[in-house]
Amino acid sequence: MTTALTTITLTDVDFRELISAQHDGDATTCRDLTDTSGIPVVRAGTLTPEVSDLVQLITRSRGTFMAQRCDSEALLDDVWLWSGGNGIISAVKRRGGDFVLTAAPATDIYRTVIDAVALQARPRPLDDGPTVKVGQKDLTGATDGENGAEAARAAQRILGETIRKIHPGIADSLTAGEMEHVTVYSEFKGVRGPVKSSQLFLDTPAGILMHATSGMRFMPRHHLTAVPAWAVWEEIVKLLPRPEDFVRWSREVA
Amino acid sequence: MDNPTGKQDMTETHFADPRAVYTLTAPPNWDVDASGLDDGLLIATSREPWTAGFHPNIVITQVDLGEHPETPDATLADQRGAEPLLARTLADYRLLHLDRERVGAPPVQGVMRSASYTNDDGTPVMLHQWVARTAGKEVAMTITFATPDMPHWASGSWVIAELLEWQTAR
Repeated sequence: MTTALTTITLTDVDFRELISAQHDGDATTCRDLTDTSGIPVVRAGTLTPEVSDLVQLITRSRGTFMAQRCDSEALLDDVWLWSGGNGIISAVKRRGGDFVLTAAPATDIYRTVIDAVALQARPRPLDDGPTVKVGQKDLTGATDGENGAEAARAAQRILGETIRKIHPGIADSLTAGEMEHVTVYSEFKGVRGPVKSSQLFLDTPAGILMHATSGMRFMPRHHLTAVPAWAVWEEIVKLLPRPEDFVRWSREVA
Repeated sequence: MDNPTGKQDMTETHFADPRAVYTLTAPPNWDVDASGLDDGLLIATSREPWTAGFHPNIVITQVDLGEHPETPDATLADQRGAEPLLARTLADYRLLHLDRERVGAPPVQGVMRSASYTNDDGTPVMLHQWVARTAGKEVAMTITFATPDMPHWASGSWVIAELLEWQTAR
């Protein structure tokens, strides 16, 4: 008798090979894989009985959610989350580079996502809804580490001066490089229609800035609004499958 | 169910009582249970279930402050002090906001808390709570709703908080 597992740990390479392989039930094009503690995951083109249910939460999923949290220098958190008729599975990248995959009931999605984006209480904005227009170049520079940490910090200082008119405290945090940026992406077909959207917010000890665009799609204007964490959470909840989506997916599984 | 208004009376639910230092305005067709008011407890509940069968509700407690200071700083400090208890007693508790806020009408400087947790039935819920001290009383209003209904109740709860009217100002 084999006991089904609810969590396994895979190296970064093994995790990416597993999710990019073709799967049909327990059959898979993935090469042989073993969990970091020695649990067999794939053997001879077949998911092992121990992990079959867990891996099929990914391969038979109906919704995908991703969250990345970064500072000027590095990716701090990389979280994937799949939703389907049998619940959810999250894959959380540890500092050491391994991914911890954990299966959970659908109702765990909210706690899992709050932790994935490290959302926490921050000081309230100074006024209701203070918004400032920012340049795409400054925003991209501040949230893109491709040109190096110093270039990102320089862009954050420029962004800080733009923000100063609506929130001096957040501006000081940006100038000091005390900023993490979080991007979430969600895609699924829900009862209320398809969701395919992302959300960016900048988190500092002094407060949170939420990103939005307006104007023409091919030439958008970018805005940052100082908001409390619960307002960010409200926007993220809109991106998540609802209970009726999970119910419909579970009926389709049955 | 997302917005279970049906074809019902759309008159808001009002509650006032000489024992309460506030008047509450809740959405239409909510039940109000004032049986605990002698002990400072008022509960208002949506008659209709919303998402996950959860009935959004409002719980208001009113207690004598005694020797406790009435200042916003003291209110915030005491609420911060309550966090370990909340984290210990509410499953999956995650605090999303706890800071000073204007509460009710006319506005009294108090505190607003937003938090996520899983209730005893296993339903993921949010609590939005306002706490204010006035006229020797501390009033805490907690609005609880299923988390999927956050896009409705995030703003809806603020409307209820803004409509809470202090009788002490009259």
